[in-house]
Amino acid sequence: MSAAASMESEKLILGYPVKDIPWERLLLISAFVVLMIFYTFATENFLTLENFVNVVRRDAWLFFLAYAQTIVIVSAGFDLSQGSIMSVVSVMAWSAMLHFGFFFGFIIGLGIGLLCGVINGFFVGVVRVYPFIATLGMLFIGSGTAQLWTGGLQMGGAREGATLPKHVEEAYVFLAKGNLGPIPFTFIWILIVLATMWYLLKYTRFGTYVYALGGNEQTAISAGINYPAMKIAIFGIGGLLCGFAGLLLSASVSAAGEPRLGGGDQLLQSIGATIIGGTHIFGGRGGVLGTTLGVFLIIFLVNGLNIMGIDTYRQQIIVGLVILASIWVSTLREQKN
Amino acid sequence: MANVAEAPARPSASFLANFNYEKYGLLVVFIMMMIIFYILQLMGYVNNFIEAHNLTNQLRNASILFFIVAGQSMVLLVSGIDLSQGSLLSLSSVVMAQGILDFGLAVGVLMGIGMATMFGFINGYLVGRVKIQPFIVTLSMLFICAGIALVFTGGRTIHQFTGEQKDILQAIGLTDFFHIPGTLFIAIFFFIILYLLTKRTVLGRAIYLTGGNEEAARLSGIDTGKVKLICYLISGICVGITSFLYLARLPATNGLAGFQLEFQSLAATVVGGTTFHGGEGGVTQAAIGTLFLTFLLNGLILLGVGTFAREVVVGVLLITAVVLSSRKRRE
Amino acid sequence: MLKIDKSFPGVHALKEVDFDLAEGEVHILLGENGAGKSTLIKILAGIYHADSGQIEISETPTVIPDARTGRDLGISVIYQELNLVPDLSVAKNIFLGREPVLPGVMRRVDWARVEQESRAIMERLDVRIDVNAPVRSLSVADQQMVEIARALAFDCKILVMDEPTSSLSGHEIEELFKAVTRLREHGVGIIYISHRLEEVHEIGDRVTVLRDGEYMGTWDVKDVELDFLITQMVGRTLDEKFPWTPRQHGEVALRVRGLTRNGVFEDINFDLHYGEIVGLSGLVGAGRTEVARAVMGADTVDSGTVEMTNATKEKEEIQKLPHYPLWMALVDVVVFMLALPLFTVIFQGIYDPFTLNMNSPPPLFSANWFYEWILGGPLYNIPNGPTPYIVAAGLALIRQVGLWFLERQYSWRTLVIDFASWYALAIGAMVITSLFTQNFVLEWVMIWGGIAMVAIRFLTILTHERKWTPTLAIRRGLGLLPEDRKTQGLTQVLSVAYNTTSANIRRLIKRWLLNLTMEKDLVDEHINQLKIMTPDQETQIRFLSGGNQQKVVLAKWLFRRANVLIFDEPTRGIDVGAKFEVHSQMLQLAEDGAAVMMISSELPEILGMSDRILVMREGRLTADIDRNEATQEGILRYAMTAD
Repeated sequence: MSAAASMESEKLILGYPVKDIPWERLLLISAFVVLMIFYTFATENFLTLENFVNVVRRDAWLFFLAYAQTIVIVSAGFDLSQGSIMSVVSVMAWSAMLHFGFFFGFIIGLGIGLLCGVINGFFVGVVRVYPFIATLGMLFIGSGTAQLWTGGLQMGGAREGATLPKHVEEAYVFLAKGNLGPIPFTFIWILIVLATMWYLLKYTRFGTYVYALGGNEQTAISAGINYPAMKIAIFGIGGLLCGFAGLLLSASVSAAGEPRLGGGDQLLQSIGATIIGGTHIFGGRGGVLGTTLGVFLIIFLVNGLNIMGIDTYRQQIIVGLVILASIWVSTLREQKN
Repeated sequence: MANVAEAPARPSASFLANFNYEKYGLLVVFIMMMIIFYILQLMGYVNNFIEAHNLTNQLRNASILFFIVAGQSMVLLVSGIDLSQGSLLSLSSVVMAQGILDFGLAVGVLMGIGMATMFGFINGYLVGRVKIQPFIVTLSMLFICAGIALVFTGGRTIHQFTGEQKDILQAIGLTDFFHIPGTLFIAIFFFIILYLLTKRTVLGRAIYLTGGNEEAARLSGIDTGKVKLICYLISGICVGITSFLYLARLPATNGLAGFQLEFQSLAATVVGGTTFHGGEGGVTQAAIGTLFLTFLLNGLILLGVGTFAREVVVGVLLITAVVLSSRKRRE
Repeated sequence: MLKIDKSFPGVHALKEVDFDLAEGEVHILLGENGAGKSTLIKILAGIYHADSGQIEISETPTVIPDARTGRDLGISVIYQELNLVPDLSVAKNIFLGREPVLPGVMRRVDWARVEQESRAIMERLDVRIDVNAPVRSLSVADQQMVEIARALAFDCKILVMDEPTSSLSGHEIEELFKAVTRLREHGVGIIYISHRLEEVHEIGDRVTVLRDGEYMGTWDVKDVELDFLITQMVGRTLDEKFPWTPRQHGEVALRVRGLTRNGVFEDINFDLHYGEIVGLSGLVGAGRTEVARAVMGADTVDSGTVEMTNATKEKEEIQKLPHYPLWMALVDVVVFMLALPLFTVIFQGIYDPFTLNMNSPPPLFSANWFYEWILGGPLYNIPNGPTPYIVAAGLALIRQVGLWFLERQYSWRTLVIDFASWYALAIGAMVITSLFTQNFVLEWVMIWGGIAMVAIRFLTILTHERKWTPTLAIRRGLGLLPEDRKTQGLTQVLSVAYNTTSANIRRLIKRWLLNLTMEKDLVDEHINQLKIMTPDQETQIRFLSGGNQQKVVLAKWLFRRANVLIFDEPTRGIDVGAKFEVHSQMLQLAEDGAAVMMISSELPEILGMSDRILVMREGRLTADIDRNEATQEGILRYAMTAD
C-alpha cells in the first residue's frame, strides 16, 4: 500500500536509508570528538603519544571484557558475571603460577575463565534459565569462590612467604607492561583478539549464527542451528576473554592474586562500551569494531578526568551518567520506530 | 474438551495433601534448618545459636534487612530488578548522617529518606515511563549513587553526633523489650502496611496483575508504567528506612555502608519464593526469605564457615531457587 | 496427498482430503477461514502428522516426520509472517544454516560464492535486490522475494505460499506474479493459498476448494467462474442453533470516525447502538482485530476519533503518544548544565577568584568547575541584578516556543504548567542558595537542585493531556474480549477472583481497603451466572479449560458493568457448551441494553448472532449489511473481491 511509495523515495547515506541513520551514534561520536578537543586544550598532556600508549596499555583489559560482552549481547544474551570471573581467574592463576610456573598458570587461568563461561552457557542453553539470572548466580559463586580461595586477602605482594618467584613475576608483569620492540605487548594482544573476533563474527558460520540467534531466534533454530551448543560456545568465548582480561588486569595492577579484582565498575564499563559502540541491547546488531570505539571513548573519558585531577568517585558518577544517557538516547530511538 | 474433566481434581482432605508447598515450603525448610542447627548445638558443633542474645541480635538483623527485601520483592513482583539498593543505602545513610549533623535529627532523617525516595523515583521513571531495561537503569544507578556517596563523605566515616542525638538513635535502633528487639516491631508494623498494600488495595492488585501479564493488565485499564514507577519508589523508601535503622543501630556510617547489600536482598527475595517472572510471591515470602537467609548465614558463621564461603552459599541458593521456580513454571 | 485425515481435540480438521500437484503448476487452494488449508500444508511440511492417509512425492510414498525432512525433500513453505533475520544481509539469509565453508583450518565461509549464488537466484527470479543489503532495509515485498529465493536455494520442488499478497501493493503483486511465473517455468510446483479471488484467474492453473475440512473438488481455472467458487466455499452447515431474538435499538453508543493506521487500516467509520449486536466479518488479516484494539485505545492510530456517548458529552480524541523527544531532552540537558551554576554562583556569590588555584582544576560539579570547563573560563564580573532572572525566563521561554512550534501535540495547558515549573525552579534555586553561605551547602544545592529539576520535569510530562488509553476507554464503559485471551485477556498465574475483578478493582473498596468478603460474594455470583467450571475462586487461571477461561474474561467485563463490549473471536477454540453460554450471555447483554460488537471468522456465527453485519477487506470497511439481507455468499464476496 504505502510501502511501495516510500521505498522509491528512500535514499541511502553511508549505507543507511535516511530515516535509519543512527543520529544518536553520530551524536555520541561528535560528543566524543568535542570532549577530546576540550581535554586537549584543558590539559597539557592529553594529546600526546605517551599518554595514548599509557592509557591503552593500562586499560587493555577493558577491550577484552567488552569484546566478551559484545559477542554475548549480539546473541541476545547478557553476562553479569564478568567481574567475578576476572576475580576467580586472578586468584587461581596466581596460585597456579606459584606452583607450576608462569605458562601453566596462564593456561589454567584461561581455562578457568572458559569453564565459568561454559557453565553460564550450560544454564542458558540447556537448562534455559534467562541469561541474566544464570550469570547473576555465577556472579555470586565466582566472587565468593575467589574470596574463599584467598580468605579475602590479596595473594602475593604484601603477604610474606608467598610471593611469586622472580622470573615468574617478571613474565607476568611483562604480559601487561612489556614492550615488543617499540610496541607495547598489550597492543599486540588487542590487535590479535580484535582480528580474531572480527574474523569469527564476519567470516565464519559461527559468527553468522551468533547474529542470527540475536536477530531472530526462531528463524535461527528452524534453520537448523544448534541452540544449546551455540550458547555454550558463545558464553565460553565470553568467559575465556574475561579470563584473559582478569590476567591482564591483575598483572598490570600488582601481579598478585586479587580476590576483589572485578568487584568494581568493570561490568558497567564493559556493557557501556558495548552499547555505546553500537551493539543493540536486544541483540542482532553490532560488532567488535564499534565496541573498540566505545572502549576508546570510555577510557579516554576517564583518562581526561584523571588528568584534570578528578577523583575516582566523581569519575564513577560521570561514567555512570554517560552510560545511562547513551542508553536512554538509544531507547528513545527504538520507541520512535 | 469437557469442562469438568479439565478442572484440577482437589486431593483428599488430609493436611499433608492440602498443604501449600509452594507458599509455605520454605517455612518448613526454615524450621527444619533451625532444628538441625539446634541439634548441632546440642552436639557441640555450634556455639550459642539457640540462645537469647544471639536470637535477639539475629532478629534485629533480620528486621533491618526485611525492609530492603520487601522493596526488592515489590520490584520483582512487577518483573523488574533493583540492583541499586546497596549503594543507594550508602548514599541515603551518609546524606542522613550529614543532615543530622547540619540540620538536626528530624530534618536529617527526612533528607536521607527523601534522597532514597528521589532515586527510587528516578529508577522508576526510567523503567516505567522511558522503558529502559530495569537491569541497566539500576546497574548504572548503582555506580552513580555509590560515587555520589563517596564524593559526599570523601572517604571519611560520619559519626560526630551529639550525645543526645546518639541516645535517641540508639534508643530506636538498640532497645530490646524482653529480648525482643524494638526494630522487630517497626518491621512488623511495616510488614502489616505492605501486606495490606499488596493484598487489600487497588495498587496491590495492579502490581500483581502487571507483573503477571503486562499486556492483559494494560487492557484491563491499568497504567502499568505508573505501577512500575510506584514499585521502584517503594523500593527507594524501603532503602531509606533501612538506612535509618542501620544508622540508628550503629550511629556511624560511611560511603560503603550498603556495599553489595543488593545481592543479599535479591537472594532473600528469590529464596523466599518471589520469582523473576513477576506476579508471584509477595511480602510474606519476603519475610520468610529474610528470616531464612539471616539465620542460615548466622548458623554458618557459628559453624565456623568463613565470610566468603557464605557468599558462595548465597549464589548456590539463588541459582537453585531460580532453577526450581522455572522448572515449576514449565510444567 | 491422498485421503488425508486429521483431527484435533474437538475438531475434525480434515476429512479425507485429496490433493495433487503437478510439476510446473500453480495450484490454488481456496477456502474460508478454518476450512483446513493451513492444516493441510502443515501436514505437508511435516509440522503436523496426518491421522491417516498418505503422501506421495514423485509417486513414491513418503513419510515426513519433521520440518527438516520436509525441507530436505524439497518442500518449502513461505508463511505469512516472514521468517528472516532482519539484520543479516539478503545473501546471508538465503544461505542461513547451509553456508559453504572453504577448505582449510580457518573455516572461512565462502561469502563470495554465497553472494554469487544469491545473485544468480535473484536473476533467475528476475528481481533486482542488492544481496548485500540488510533484510531490514527491504520492503515487505522484497523480503518475500528473499523468502522465495531462500526456498529456491534449497532446491525446492514444491513451494507453498500462504497468502503471499496479503501485505503487498498492486505493483509489488505484479512483481511477485512474474517471479511465480518464472518458477513455474523452471518446473517448481506451487501451492498458492489466497483470499483474493481475482488472483485465481490471473495466476492459477488449477484450483482446489476446501470447506469445513472437506474436499469439495479440483477444477481447471479456465473452466470455473468466481461465483461458482464462492458457492463451493460457503454452505457450511447451519445446524447450530443461535438464540437470537429481535430487539429494540437505542441511541448511538460508540461512534468511530475516520480511524486510520497507516498500512493497517484506513478510514474506518461506524456507529454502534445500544441494544444492538453488530458482527464484524472479514478474512483473517483484514485488520479486524487491529481496529478493535485501536478503538480500545490499546494501539496508537495516525488519525481518527472514537467517541463514546454514554458517560459524558466530552469528546475524546485519539492522539499520538506524547513522548519526550530527543531534541527536548537535549535542550533540557543544556538548560540544566547552564542553569545550575548560573543560579548557584550568581545569586550566592560563592565564586571567588581569590581562592581559585589555577594550577589544580576545581572540584568536579562545583560551580567553578562548570564555569571553567563548561562555559570556557572564569567569569569575574557577573552582574547581580535582573539579568539572571531574565536569562532563566528566556531559556524557559525558548523551550516553550520550540515545543509549541515543533510538537503541536502539547496543549497550552501543558505548556503553561511546564513554563511555570521551570521558572519556579529557577527562582527556588536562587532562594535556597541564598539561604546558606557555607561551602558544603553548595554541594547540597547541586544534588538536590538537580534531582528536583529532573523530578519536576518528569512530573510535568506526567501531567500531559490525557490520550485515549484502555484506562480511559474502560472508564467510559468499553470492554474488549481480546482474540488471544491467554496472553491478552487473562493473567495465567493469578486466581479466578483476581482476574475477574481486574477491570474494576475499585468496586471492591470499602472503608479504604478492598473488601475480600464482598469480592468473594461478587465473584461467586459471576461464576454461577456464567457457569464457570472451577474448583474454587483461588484456582489459577492456567488450570482452566479454554471455554472457562473465555467465560472468566466475560465475567471480568460483566463485573465492570461495561455497556459497550467488543468480542474478538469469542468462541474460537472452545467447546459447544461454553460457546452456547457465551452466545446467550451476549444476547442477554444486548437485551439489557448494552452495545455489542462481535468479530468472528465463522460465517454461521456472524449470521446467526448479528443484527447488522460489517465486512472488512484489506483494512477497509466494504459493506454494512442488515441481518435480513445477509447471506454467506454476499459476505464472502465483500470480504474477498474488490468491487
